[in-house]
This record gives sequence, structure tokens and C-alpha cells, in this order.
Amino acid sequence: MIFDSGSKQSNLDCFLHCTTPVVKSQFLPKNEIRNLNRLWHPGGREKVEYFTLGDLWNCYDEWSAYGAGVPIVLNNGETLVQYYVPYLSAIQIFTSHSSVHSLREETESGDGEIRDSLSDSYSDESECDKLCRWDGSSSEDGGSEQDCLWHVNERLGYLYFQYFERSTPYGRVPLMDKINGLSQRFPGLMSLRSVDLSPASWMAVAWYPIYHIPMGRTIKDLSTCFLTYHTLSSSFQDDIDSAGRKRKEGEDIALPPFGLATYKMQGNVWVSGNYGRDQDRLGSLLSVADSWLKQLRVQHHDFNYFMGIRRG
Amino acid sequence: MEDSQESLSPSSSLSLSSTFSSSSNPQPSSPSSSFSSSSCLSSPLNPYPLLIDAELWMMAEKRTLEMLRIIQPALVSEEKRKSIINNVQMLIKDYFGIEVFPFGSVPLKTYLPDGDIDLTALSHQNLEGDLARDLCSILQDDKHDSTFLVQDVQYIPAQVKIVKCTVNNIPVDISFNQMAGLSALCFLEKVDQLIGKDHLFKHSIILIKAWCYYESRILGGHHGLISTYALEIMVLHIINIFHLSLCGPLAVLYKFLDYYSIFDWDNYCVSINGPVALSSLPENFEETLENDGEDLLLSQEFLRHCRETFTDPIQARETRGHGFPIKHLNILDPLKDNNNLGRCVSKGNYHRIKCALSYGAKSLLEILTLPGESMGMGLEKFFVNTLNRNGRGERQDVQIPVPAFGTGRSEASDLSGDYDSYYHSLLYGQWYHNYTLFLSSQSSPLSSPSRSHKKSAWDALRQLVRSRRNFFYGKRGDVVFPSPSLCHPYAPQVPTTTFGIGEMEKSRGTGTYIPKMTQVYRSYRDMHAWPRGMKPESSNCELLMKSPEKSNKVKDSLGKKNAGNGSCVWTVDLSPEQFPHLPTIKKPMTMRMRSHHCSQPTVNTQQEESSSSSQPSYHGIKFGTYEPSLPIKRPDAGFSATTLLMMGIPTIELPEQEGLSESDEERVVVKLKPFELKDDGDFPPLCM
Repeated sequence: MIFDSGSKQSNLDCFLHCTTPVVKSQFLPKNEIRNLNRLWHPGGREKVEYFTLGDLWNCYDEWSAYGAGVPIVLNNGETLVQYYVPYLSAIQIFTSHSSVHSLREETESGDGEIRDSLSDSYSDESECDKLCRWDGSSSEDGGSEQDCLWHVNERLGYLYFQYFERSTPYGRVPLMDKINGLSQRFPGLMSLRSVDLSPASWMAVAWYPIYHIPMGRTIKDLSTCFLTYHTLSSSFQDDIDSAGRKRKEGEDIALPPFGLATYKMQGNVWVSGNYGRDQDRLGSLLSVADSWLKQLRVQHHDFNYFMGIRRG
Repeated sequence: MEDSQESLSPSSSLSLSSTFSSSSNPQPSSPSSSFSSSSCLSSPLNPYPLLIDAELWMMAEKRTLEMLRIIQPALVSEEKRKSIINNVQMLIKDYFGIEVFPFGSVPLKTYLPDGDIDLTALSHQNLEGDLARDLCSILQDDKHDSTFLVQDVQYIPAQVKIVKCTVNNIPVDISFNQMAGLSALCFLEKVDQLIGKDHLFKHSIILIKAWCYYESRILGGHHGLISTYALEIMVLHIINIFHLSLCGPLAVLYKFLDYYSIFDWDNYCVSINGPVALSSLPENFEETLENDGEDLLLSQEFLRHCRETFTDPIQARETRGHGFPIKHLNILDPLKDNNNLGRCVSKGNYHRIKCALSYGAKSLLEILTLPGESMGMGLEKFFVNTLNRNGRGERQDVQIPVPAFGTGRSEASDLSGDYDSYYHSLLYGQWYHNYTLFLSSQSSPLSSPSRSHKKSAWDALRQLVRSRRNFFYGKRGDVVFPSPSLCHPYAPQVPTTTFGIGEMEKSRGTGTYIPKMTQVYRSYRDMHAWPRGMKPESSNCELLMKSPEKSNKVKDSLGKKNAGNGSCVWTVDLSPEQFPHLPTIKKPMTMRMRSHHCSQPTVNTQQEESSSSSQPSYHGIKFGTYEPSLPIKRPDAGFSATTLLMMGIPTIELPEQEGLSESDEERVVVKLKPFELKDDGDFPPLCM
């Protein structure tokens, strides 16, 4: 993409911009506005806009195939474009029970990473399952888990689907393929709308570098890997985009990252100059991601890995 | 398997179609969409056949050619790269006395503006690491030529050692002894000639490389993606099978995307002749050739010849036993058994590559169904990054402005390569290595140089020479290649106890010029001293006795020839007392050889005063009359190997037994013919 960078745009800004999916917006039919969860969608809005998850994944279609290009300006003024491939790192979809009732299928948790929470798949001792506690209660006790969920439902919603990637980057399939595969068993992944999702719904996308054009010499900082955190629900949509402009009705909806983690960042490309603004930004994005995970009480494998936390 | 019909009816419509042999179709079997093999442009994504108007298709190809013009090698880029290559060649020659040859996309003329220059230096294999490190220092320090700016010098000590740098902003990779690269170059150049159609092969390579690199980012062996050579074989596969219906590079691109996006990589691998079931590997090349090849463009015989001609028999033997390593993307190397060209593709990248091919195929199909001008714009969008980067009047590899895209002012450049030159580089390299192999086998103190060991080296050499005979040079089978330098540390070794500077200086009396490097590499004498017990006993080697007038004559002519570029003539003394061996002209071999006790082959070079086609008198030369039973003496007597590296006609002789006459059948030499050069640039100068 041709990016018209203003003088204040740093490489970090650029990265966040270029990895932000922008989804087609649709208007909710009036009669459905009534049905919205009041907790999640405080009333008073004439028009409610939403997007479908299927449209969201379409944003990642070309990126998954070709990588997303991020124009970089080096300290010496050279410019290049670094490409990153998105991988689904983690996702949790909370809905109101009714939304997914029709979608719910019997699933066997063949894949230890996927858990349909209403099935008792706790026999699968995958690490992330064990650690996925809701109210601090032990996850080994299937029964109490259920109870917890009901408690949690009101606050977070019903966990329709979650996934935490744990395989090494070298073996992963790009995001689009992954979603296509997962949606075979969980069609809601495609059909659910942002208004159906609880504000707790989120996903993390891992961005791994391919190469940059022109290739030239190796620049260490360009082998940095990123983890971007995005909300999926309509509730949190920013009406102000990164350039400070208010989003007009009907325009595409952007889902900029609310959190960011990095791996192997040296700093000279990403946080140089800009009066330390980038440094601050990185810090705050990281802490937001961290607190988000803590709030939801989930262990995000890639996040831990990026942070250097190794668990057994 | 859908069997399809060819329907090329130029008057009404043009179609991308193909005829399929009955060989297994590795496409997933969905009934209506197994292959885009129906008589019209169709694809699994769109099962309904599409007819593309011939005119529209021509327009699309024309637009594609315009795009090609701005990315394919241009006169200015050719000149620039050539000068860089010459500069590096001369630098390395000056410092190390070894030959360096370009390979890969630059001589093949399929490089993108962002493409690098691949060079390979021929040296003694054990010394690659040292050589690389020294080269790094030299490149970093070399300020001799201000017109060449050398930056970012790096040494990559991987399995294939590479010295990376940029020269005048173009990345240059210098590897060592990459014979495979030279083989591939010859093969691809030959294939391009054969396919013809205005360099359809090369144009397709450039177009598809551009898409893979600039647009979909799936090109790059170093990044765990598809290597360039693998891509070239994949393209060749497409052209080989579908040649009848491919009218231009765009058609090849479409077919490429369509075919490989639905290729059953899990169960099949790509070979030139067609898909090969993984279950049937390890491959037997002969077996794969048995696949019915009536519809294929490249005949079995041609491919067989290519293999024999371009592959080093010794190296080929080495890889044969290993078995084919099956990875995610499997592509058979037509020149080397059990070489999987897709082995560097990691699992994750494999998935993404499949993704990219599908996405690309889908996008291109949509574009090709657009009407008229929209199709043109769609094509430009399909190559948006390529055009952004290279279509605005600038080539990344050239300083001066070039015509921008769409102005219609780009000029087509000639993509023909200099096949003869590439082939000679290959021969030189193979000969060089076989020769050094032989020398190593001679000099090893550890094993008694068993007859079979020596024999195998000589066998290989003989085989090599034989196989070259009739294929590309006609019946007479004359082949010429120069001899390698034996005198430099990085060249095939001779005992460096004889290498001392002192000795060298003494030999100055005969007029040999010792360049400055000897000072630098004095230490190598110590580093690379041969093990004890290999000290030459030189008394037997009267080979070195030379009549002064002859040597002067040669020296003069040498001097005349070589004064210009400051090259020198290296010789090696076996002892300070002896004269260096200088080449003779028309000196009867027997006189020399008779008193020769050493069992070393000698490499003599002769120099023709003029590059006429006069036959040198290789008295008693018989081609291919090697007797395997010739007993070869142990090299107790040490080395007598000396060479003189120069433009000329070397001979290879078997050492003969004492007392044998020149007419003895046990001598085998290569019948040689002076190579006719237009000028020095025609062939990399081998003089030092």
C-alpha cells in the first residue's frame, strides 16, 4: 500500500496502521436493535453498525497470502517495505447464550487447543486448558467449571469458542487458512456479528517477518515479531481513527490494536527518535495487553513466549 | 482425468488449453474442476469455460511485455553488472590467483532490478573458509578502484560459505566451488534456446519471479521460500507440458498459478517431465524419463544429454546413494539425482506459498475475465508493487533514469546469453576439481595411493572429457580448457615447502614475475604446509630442466601477452637449484618424459602465437586410449607438477613409465584445438 506518511508518523505507527484490519460496515435492522444485550450495548442509538466476522477475516486474506507491507524509514533515511505474515495466535469469542444456541454443535475436542466450553473436554490435559481459569477455581474439576461459567456469563458472556496457538512459528498456517479450518467446526466464526459478541471478545494476531524489499543488508530490528491485540465486539469501536478524524457513519470500521507485544526488538528501527513517544507507546500497549490477559485470567502462550516467560 | 482437446482457433478465440498425457494427474479429483484443462480458459475456481477473445489476449500479452521491458535486463544494467563482475574477478585473480565465474540470473539474463550478482570462485575445497575470510578483509580494505564502492562486507560461514557485499549498491554474493550453479546456468541457457519463441522461457521466468518477489513474497531460498532455481524448474515444467498452448509469458504465468495452486503437493513432486508420485521415490531418473513424453517439448534424449554433459560424474556419484529427502514442497532437480530443490521451504512457508498461489490464481482469473481496458488496468494492479518500484523511470540497479512504464519508450533488450562462455566455465570448473581431486589423491600421505583411488579420479576425468566430446562440439570432439594454477595456496596444492619466498625470488632469474601477494601470503606456507614425508625429492624430476632459449622465448611471448593487465606467470620450483618449468612449444614429450620418474600428471600449456586454427603437434596423441591397467607409481619422488597458467592449450597427460615411448598407447591426452577468441572479453582471462 502506498502510505502517505506525515512527518510525525513513526515506524511503529506505520506498523500499527498497516496491520489494522478495516472491515465493511453494515447497519443493523431496526427490529434487531431491541434484542441487543443491554449490558453490552447501552441503548440510545438510532443506528447500530456492525460487521461480520467473516468480513473481518477477509481483511486478512491477502495478508495471509502475500504478507502485509509496512513502509519503514531507517535512521539514515533509506526506505524499504518490510512484509509480515499474520497468524492466529489467540482468540476468545464470548456471546450471549441465545446467539449461539443455534450454532452450537457437538464437537469432539480432537485438537487440544480448541475447546467448546460446554463440552467437558477437561480430560484433555493441554496446558492452556489447565490454566484457563475463570474465577480462580480449579479447572480440573469439570463440575465447578460449569458453575463458574454461569457466573461469568453475565459479565463476559458465553464462551463460544477459543483458540490458543502453541505450535512453533515454522509450522503455522497463515491466519486465513487457520480460520477457514476452524470454521469448519465452528461456523459462528464466520457468521457471528460484532453486535453479537460480548465486549470481552478479543483476538491476538502474531506477525512474523518475511523479508523486506529492497533486501540489502540484514537489519536486525526488522526481524522483530509482533503480537497485536484486537477487540471484536462493536462496543469498543473507536469513533476516532488514528489520524484524529471522526469516523463517519457507514464508513468502514477499523480495528486498531489495543495492545501490543514484541519479540526480538532491538529498538533502533522502532523506537528511535520521535521524542520517546514510541517508547512510551510500546510500554503502554504492552501493559494494556498484559492487564487484559490478567483480567480474563487466560494464559496466552505467545505472549508468555515473547515476554520470556517459559512455563514447564 | 479430464482429457481435453486443443482448440486453438485463432480466428475466433484463443484459449489456454493443454493436452494431457495419460500420466497421472496429481490434481485433486473434483469432477468439474480437476484441472484447468478444458478446451478454454477455465479453472477449478470457475468450472464454466471462459473464452478469451484472441485480440483481448494479445492485448494482455502486449501489456505484459511492456511491464517486462521495465524489469528485464536492460543495456544499462547489463553494462553495470558486467563491469562489477569484471572488477571482482580481477580483484580476486590479483589477490588469490583463482578464477571466478558468474552464474545464476545475471549471465542467464533473468535478473530483476533488485536481483543480486552471484559469483563462484574455484579454489581448493579445503581452503574455502580461509579464502572467504581473506576475501572479506580484502574487500573491506580495498580502495584501489574508486569507481567501485564496496560496502557491507559479510562472511556467512554456513555450509555453503559465502562472502556477501554490495558493490555500487548491487548485492554481490561470492561463493566457492558451486559447480551446481554453473551446471544449471548451462542447462537453462540451452533450454531457452531450444524453447525459442522469443525467449519465452526467460521472459516467463522474469515475469513469474517478479510476481513471486514483489507481489506475493514467496521467492527466496535463504528465507525458507522457493529458491530461484526451483522456480525456474517449476516454470520449465509448465512450458514443457503445456507448450502448445502457451503463447506468451502471461499465459505461462496464469498456467503456473493455476497449476500449482491445486497441485497435490502432499502426494506428488514436480519434475520436468511431469508430476512424480512421492511414493515412487527415490527416483530413478531413467524411470522418470519413461513417462510418456510425446507431448513434451523437451525430448528425453535432450534431457539425458544435458544431464551427462552438465553434471560432474564424480559429484553425481556422491549424491546418488543418499535417497531423495522428502519435504513439503518437492521438486526434482533435472541435473542431479536426489536433489530436492524445494528442500529449503519450511512447513509454515509451504502453507503460505500455497495460499499465495491460490490467491494469485483467483485474482488473475478475475482480471482475465474483465473487459478490455479494465483488464489492462487489472494487470497493472496485479503487478502493483513491481510497477511502483520499477516503473517510475528508475531502475533500482542503475543510477541513470530509464524510460518509465507506459511511455512506450522502453526498449527490448536481447536476452540471449553466451552459452559457449558458460559452458567453458563449467568445463573449467569440472576439470579443475577433478584435477585437484587427483592431486589430492596423489599427495595424501595417509593412504597408499591405491590404484583404484587414482584410477577413479582419472576415470572421472576421462569420462568427463569423453562425454563432452560429441555433444556440443561436433564429431571431432575438440575441447579446450586451460589448466588451473597450481601455484597459489588456494589453488591445488603443491608442497609449500617449495613455496618459500626465497625460492621464488631465486627463480626471478628466469623472468617470472612474482606479484605482491606473495608477501601477503607468506604465512600460508606455514598454515598449509603439507605433512612431513611429502617433501619432494627433486632430483628425479628432470622434467624441470629446460633449455634457456625456449624458456626465454616463452617468457617473451608471455610477457608480451600479459604485460597489459599486470598478470604474472607463476611457477613452482621443486628446489632452488632447478629452473622453473616453463611451457614448451612443440617440444617432443618423450624427451622430457623419458627421464621422468615421477608419477604425477603434468599439465603443460602451450601457447599459440596467434589464435589460428593450426594444430599443435601433439605427437602421438591418442584420444581415449587410456589403459586402466597402467601401473601408476607412488609419488615417493614427490611432485613434479608445475603449471603455467596462461591462455593456451593445455594438455593432460598421464604420467608414463620410465622408458616408454611416445607412441605408447598408455598415454592419453586430450586433443585440443586452440580456442578462438574474439577478444579478451570473450573468455575470462585465465592468465595471472
